[in-house]
Order: sequence, then C-alpha cells, then structure tokens
Amino acid sequence: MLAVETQSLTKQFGTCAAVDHLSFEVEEGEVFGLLGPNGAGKTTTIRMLACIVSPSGGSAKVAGYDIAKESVKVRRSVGILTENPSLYERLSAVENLEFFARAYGITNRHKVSDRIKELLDLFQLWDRRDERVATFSKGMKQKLAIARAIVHDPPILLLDEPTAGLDPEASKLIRDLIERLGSLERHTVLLCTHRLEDAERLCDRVMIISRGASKVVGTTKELRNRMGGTPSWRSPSGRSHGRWWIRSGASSLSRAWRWTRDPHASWWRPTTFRP
Amino acid sequence: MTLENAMLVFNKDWREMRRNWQIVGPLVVVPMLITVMLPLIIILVPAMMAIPGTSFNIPTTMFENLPLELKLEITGMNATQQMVYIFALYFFAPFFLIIPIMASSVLASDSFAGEKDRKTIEALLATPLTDGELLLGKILVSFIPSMLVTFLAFAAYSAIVDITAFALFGGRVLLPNLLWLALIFCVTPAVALAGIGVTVIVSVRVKGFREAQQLSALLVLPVMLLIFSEVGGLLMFGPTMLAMLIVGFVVLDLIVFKLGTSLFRREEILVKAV
Repeated sequence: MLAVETQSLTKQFGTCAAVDHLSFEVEEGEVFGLLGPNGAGKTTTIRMLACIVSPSGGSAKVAGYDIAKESVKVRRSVGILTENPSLYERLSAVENLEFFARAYGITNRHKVSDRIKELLDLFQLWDRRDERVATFSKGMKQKLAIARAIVHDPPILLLDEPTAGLDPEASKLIRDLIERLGSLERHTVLLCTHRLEDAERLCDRVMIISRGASKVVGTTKELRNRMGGTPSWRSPSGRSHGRWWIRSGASSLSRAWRWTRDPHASWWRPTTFRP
Repeated sequence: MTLENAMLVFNKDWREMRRNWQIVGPLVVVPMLITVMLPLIIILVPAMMAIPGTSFNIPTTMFENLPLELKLEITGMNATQQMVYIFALYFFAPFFLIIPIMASSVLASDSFAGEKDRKTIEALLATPLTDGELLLGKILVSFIPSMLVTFLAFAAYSAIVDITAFALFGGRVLLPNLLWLALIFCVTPAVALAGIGVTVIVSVRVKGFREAQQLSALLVLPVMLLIFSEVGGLLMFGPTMLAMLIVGFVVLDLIVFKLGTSLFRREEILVKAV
C-alpha cells in the first residue's frame, strides 16, 4: 500500500513556483529521501504533506487521506520534525511531550506518561525530564523534537533536515535512530536532506529535486551508477574540485563541488557551491 | 471544536507566560503604577498629610463642567474632600481602561506573535487541533489573566481609596459603587476583548512579539484622549460616558473579531512567520 502519493503537486508563492508539478509515491515502511540544495522545495513539499500549507495545484494522499479534504486525519497520521526543533523552551521535556501527546489525541493519562517515559528513556533524556528545554544542547533538543514527532506513534514520519547543525556524534545518533524507525519499527519515513551521506545511508529510494521539480528518482545505488565525475569520498588528495551530475533520460542536474574541511571533525567532505 | 482542546492550548500558553518576566513584569508593574502609585502621589498622600503647597484645587474648567448631580454631591465638602472625592471616583476611572488594554495586548502578543518569534508555530500548526481550538485557547489565555489583573487592581485601588476616605469622610466608604462596578465588570471585559482582537489581526501580519505589542498598544490612544477630555472639562466619568464606552467597545469587538477570525488561518500565519 502507498503511504504517500502525490500527483503534480504544485505550490506557488506569487510568481515563484516553490514546488513544481511534483509526482512521487512512497511505499509503506519505506525510507524515502528528498535530496536537493537549499531552496529546492523540500520543506514546502513536507509542509503541504503535513497540511500546514495548501497546494496551489495537484493533489496528494497521505496514509490514504486526501490532504485537501481530510486535513485533520492526515495530521493525526503524520509526525513532523520541522527545520527548527519547534520546542517550548520555557517548558520542561515532559511538559512539551505531554502537550503534544494530548494535542494528537492521546487522552488517557497513564498512556501519556508511559509513552513519555518510553521515549525519554530511548533518547537518554529521562534524567533531565523536568529541566527546561532552554537548558538543553542542540543535539538534545533535536532528540526531543524527534520524540515529539513520534509521541503519538504515527505511521508516517516527515523529517526535515534532521541532522542539520549537529556535531558528528549527535548526527550519528539521529541517523541510527532514523534507521531504527525505518527498518525495525516499519515507520514510513520521508526524509528531507541536502547531505548525500544521510541519503545514502538511510534511504531506500531517493528523489533529487531542484527548483521544486523532480530530477530523478531511484535507489541510492541506481543514482550512484548514473553519476558522472563522482568525487572520491575518502581522501581530499587528487582533485580539489570538480563537477558531478546526475542524468535521467533527457534531464540532468549538475553541481560544482569542492573539498571542505568539516568544522567538527578532522576529515574532509565534498560540498556543492556556485562557481 | 472542543473546549478541552482549547483549554489544552490555554494551559500550555499560561505555563509558558508565567515563567516569562517580560510578560509578568508589565502585568504587575503597570497596574501597580496606576492603582497604587499614581493615586498616592497625586491626591491621597497630599490630602492626608496636608503637605504645604500640594493641596491644589480642582481645575476651574473641570469643576465648571461637572454634572449637576455631582456638583450637588460635593456641596458641603471642604476643598480637600472635594478634590479626593472627584479625583478618586471620577478622574481616575479612565485609567482603569489602560490596564485591560495593556494586559491583553501583552498576553495576546506573546501567545500569537510570540510563537512566531520562538519558531514554535510550525509544530503547533502541524497538530490536529483545529483553527477554532487554537484561536479560542489563545483568546482565553489572553482574556482570563487580563481580567484577573484588572479585578485585583480594582480591589487594591478600592482599598487605598477607602482607607483614605475612612479618615477623611468620617468613616465613609467610597468604593465600590455602581458606576465603578459597571466600569469594571461591563466595560473592561469589552476593552480586553478589543485589545485581543486587534492583537490577533496584527499578529497574523507581523513577524514578532515586539512588533505586535507595539502596534496593538496603539489602542491606549483613545483612552488617553478620554483622560485629556476629562482634564479639559469636555467629558466626565458618569453613566453617559459608560454607555458610550460600552457601545463603542462592543462595536469595535464585533469588527475586530470578525476580521481576526477571518484572518486566522494556518497558512496565513505560517507564511508570514517565515
């Protein structure tokens, strides 16, 4: 069964098409990546699927519900991790999760407290459950934001840049968690990222989007096979910059890349840039 | 729409607000200034202590324009008693409109525009709570504390006036009276609702708490006009002014709430937040 299905989904902001006739399908239990540079339309796509903004055109079904006609049912079926952690910093971790659990319709007091305990234990935040979120580190906030996204145990998760701004250790923890949610707990995950390594490690299939339009869809292996000028991922020796591109039929996407040193680690990685 | 869900939003916002000194500060300080400091400095202490040079007379224009019934009421009082009677019972009344305007605009700005400022709005809008539940919860969290602050301020003001009056008028108690009860229980709720309505409209359009608060505080201007009209002898607090205030603010409430509810849509709020 399809967890997410979009048909020519479009979002127009004035004269600018943030999402341009996007069509894709995500199977139940699949981890599907939306890969693209900043401004490609990933966040707007997620916002439309979470029924926060309405599409200008096209249609989409999430968990079998139409996003235009059954928005409340769609919202109940998805958990969303937004670009910012979106947590109430003057409330404690428990108070944050309690509010969202009830807002998502869990009314039984025991069920709410059991679920919160389970999640805070899982994310190793139980010891700091009564502390205000303002005192948490960025990584802890991100973990709590993911806990909030899954507090009502939704079948579909929409994750927007879950590792953005995190140090390598926190990023690894988040990646492990997403992997676990996808493979073991069989959540359907729609993952927005501009980091190739996240997409490569976590996603069953990836769609590359640019300027709101789909460029190519496939498994990470298929995409790698279509890539030309692939940079070496292991060492910065040899070429210091270059260009990679992805071809799908007549259309192609290309980006200039160069090596940059990761500020949190001693290793180098290829990043795209505008020449 | 369920009241339970609206109360969920109310409880969450109230928990946050009472831990925020930017909110609690003005809610405590402004009513204290208006109900305790201002009367003490302007009339009560000079009247009680008979400090030389401070026992002023009622401005002539103001006295000439007093309603006939009021002139009769103060006949037979000495100058100090007249001054305390008129200032405490009539002149200070419009100041009590500032309290619900200030309180409701501070609370509503934090509740509506504050969510944009703190970037918490997106997760809230992603919940299955309906627009109506969100709006009602946020109106309640702005309205109930505003009214509580106003009632407490009135109780404090009544106590101060009565302590002074008890000594000055030979055991007589001046407040509460019918006019003031009508002001506090009929006019101030309408004023608070107008403050909230204007803040809802402003908050949808602006990006942050400060902007929303500054714009919605413009509602204080008509109240200042009332105060200056009293000083200039154009108007005096009484049944006519009360009727005008009730009608005026109820009409304003209807207009701003109709406009506010039509503007309060998820997409509109989020798009203006980013």
